[in-house]
Amino acid sequence: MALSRNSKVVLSLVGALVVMCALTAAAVPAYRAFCNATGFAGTARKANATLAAIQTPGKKIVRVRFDTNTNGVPWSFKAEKPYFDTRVGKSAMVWFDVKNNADHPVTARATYNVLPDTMGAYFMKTQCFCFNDVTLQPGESQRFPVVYFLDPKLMENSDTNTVPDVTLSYTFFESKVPASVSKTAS
Amino acid sequence: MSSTAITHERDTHADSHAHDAHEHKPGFFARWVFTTNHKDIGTLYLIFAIMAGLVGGAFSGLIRWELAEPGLQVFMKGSMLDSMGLFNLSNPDHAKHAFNSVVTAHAVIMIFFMVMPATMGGFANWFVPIMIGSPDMAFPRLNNISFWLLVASWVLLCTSIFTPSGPGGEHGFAGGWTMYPPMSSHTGSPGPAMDLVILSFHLAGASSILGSINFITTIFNMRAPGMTLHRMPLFAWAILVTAFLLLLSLPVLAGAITMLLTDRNFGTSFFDPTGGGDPIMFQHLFWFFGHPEVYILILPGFGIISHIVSTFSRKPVFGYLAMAYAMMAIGFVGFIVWAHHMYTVGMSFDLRAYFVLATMVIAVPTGVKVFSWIATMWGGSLWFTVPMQWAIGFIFLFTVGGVTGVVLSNAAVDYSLQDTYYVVAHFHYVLSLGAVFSIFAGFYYWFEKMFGVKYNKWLGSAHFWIMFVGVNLIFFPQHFLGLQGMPRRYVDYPEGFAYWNKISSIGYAITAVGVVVFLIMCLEAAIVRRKGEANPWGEGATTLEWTLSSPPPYHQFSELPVIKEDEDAHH
Repeated sequence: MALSRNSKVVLSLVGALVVMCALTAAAVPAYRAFCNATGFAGTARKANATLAAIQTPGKKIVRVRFDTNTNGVPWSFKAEKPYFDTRVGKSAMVWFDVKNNADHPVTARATYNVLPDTMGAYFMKTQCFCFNDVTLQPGESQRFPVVYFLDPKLMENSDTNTVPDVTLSYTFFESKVPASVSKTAS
Repeated sequence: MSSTAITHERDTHADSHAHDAHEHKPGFFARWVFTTNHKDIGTLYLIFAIMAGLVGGAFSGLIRWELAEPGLQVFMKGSMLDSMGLFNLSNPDHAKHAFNSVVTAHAVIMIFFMVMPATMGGFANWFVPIMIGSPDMAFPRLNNISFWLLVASWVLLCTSIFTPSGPGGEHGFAGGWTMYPPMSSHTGSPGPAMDLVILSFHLAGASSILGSINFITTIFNMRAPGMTLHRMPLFAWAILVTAFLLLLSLPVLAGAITMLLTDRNFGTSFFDPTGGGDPIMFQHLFWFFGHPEVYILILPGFGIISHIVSTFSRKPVFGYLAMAYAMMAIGFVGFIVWAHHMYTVGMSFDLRAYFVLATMVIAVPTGVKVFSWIATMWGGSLWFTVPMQWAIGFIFLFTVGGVTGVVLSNAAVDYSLQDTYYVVAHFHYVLSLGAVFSIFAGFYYWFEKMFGVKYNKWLGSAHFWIMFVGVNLIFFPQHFLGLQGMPRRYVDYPEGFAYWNKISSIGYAITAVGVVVFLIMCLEAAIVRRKGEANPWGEGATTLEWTLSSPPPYHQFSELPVIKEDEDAHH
């Protein structure tokens, strides 16, 4: 039996509804992929070491500041130096120290961001310690290296070529996964 | 239109004719609770909207009362409000939270429970079927569900106002109607109030989606013979575009708040940076819905104003097709400008440039509409009835709000005006003054048609002039406050902002008098019951509702209207 006129209209409208719902669900992975690909909203980009090696260092020197936060996690967390004057296009490494001051094991994970946001697209990290659960026993400390370089393409963007300094900010948040079940990152 | 369609219409018509013979109205409870009659549902929506408008208006009164002077006077322990016991004002933090929860509730009530029920629920249910020559909506029972879902949604929202929310047990969600995380996430509002707001929005969204499917099907399938889309009255066009906006934008809001719900209750981290989520993504999803939403609020008003201006200029609306397609253009562009609400989140220069440009483009179809209304009046035989006064008031106020909108669309300007009272003044000029004036214009235009009695013209006019002075006095000074840097959503402000805040609060008092005059006008008409005419507006009123009695028969069109080429209503 052929569909009635009303059913045809309703079915196409419900179809449109389903498509919009699906697009909304797809927005989550799409937004993440978009941020990683473009450095949108201060998402620092990941790059491999080969890419770092082939950059021609530029003349400009940008002061990269390191900001460390623990958001209530009972750890001390600091960078080995407060800032490093980085030549654009040249790889640099900085060590971060964390120590668990609590009397019990604590699991946390770090998130990072780059400010100003527009620099995110040009802040290339070849090694970092973000988005992994880290469990520290009472009194235990660890060192994490971060290797990064500033993409010389930032000189071609009017938003970024005059930026004198950039802040790489790390924050440890207590992990939503309980300490007992997560593995120690090493 | 195919011949089968006409047969179908005639069948329905024969059926309704049988009912017509003795008006066959069910008893009070069955008639109003189980109703499937589009006119009765429209009336229910209008009563609901007036009720919600009074509550939302009272909330804005609390806001203006608090802001009348610097310092705390209303939202504090021992105040008159505290003695009423409605809000928990036991300590200063609770009191400040209560202020923000009142601001939030005011916005949500006015948007979802006043303007939308009045335009999409009330006037559209009443007049879209009649204007297109249809006996009722395509799915009358669905129509009933839409209304009662909204009532359930309202109950949830009202419950949330008195439910624990903040980290200290403060009552009511206080993060604004935009519900940005982390204010709306478990961090900012751990209590159940936010969950109730989310569920309330789910129900209101379901209600609107069902309603819009119903309107689109009705308009596509149930037009009378000869009523082609290009001959359809502009109000029906406005509702068609609005229904599509609702259908395409509400699922995005529903998705975003569902993610918020699972973030709050089921350990996901869509918007939680500690789990790799991003709160900015919520803002993108919210405004992808939120921007079309503001056109959902104003487009039906555009339709109403076109009818009124044309009727009281006694000539067809200028540029009928341009008016219809301008609404479609506004609807389409409305979907691609959302991030102009988010200039300060740190977008790149190019992205901001795009959103500035796209936003400014909206001024073009909007300008087409404003100039067409003026061109309709130009050379017309003008009749300054009560609805015409409201309509001209609307055009003036909406244009003021449109101009400040173009100012704000500049990302560079918005950097300093973001979240100031300038923005508050802007959206109240287009919505609180624009949309609300179009609702009152429609109310006075169709009052006699809907209720079958005449209102007192003197009271209607007094209502208009008092409101017009009052709302301008409230909102015009808020431009100055915003330019001076007064931020939104604060319970207090420094001395320097005192003068214009005082003026603004005086404006509220005048507006409140206007609302009282409105209620007296309704009461007076209900008591005196001057019998209404079928068409009180004369030759200018050419749409189909004026061919019926006032009020229209319980089931209309015992004679199926046939729209002929030479009778193009064109407005």
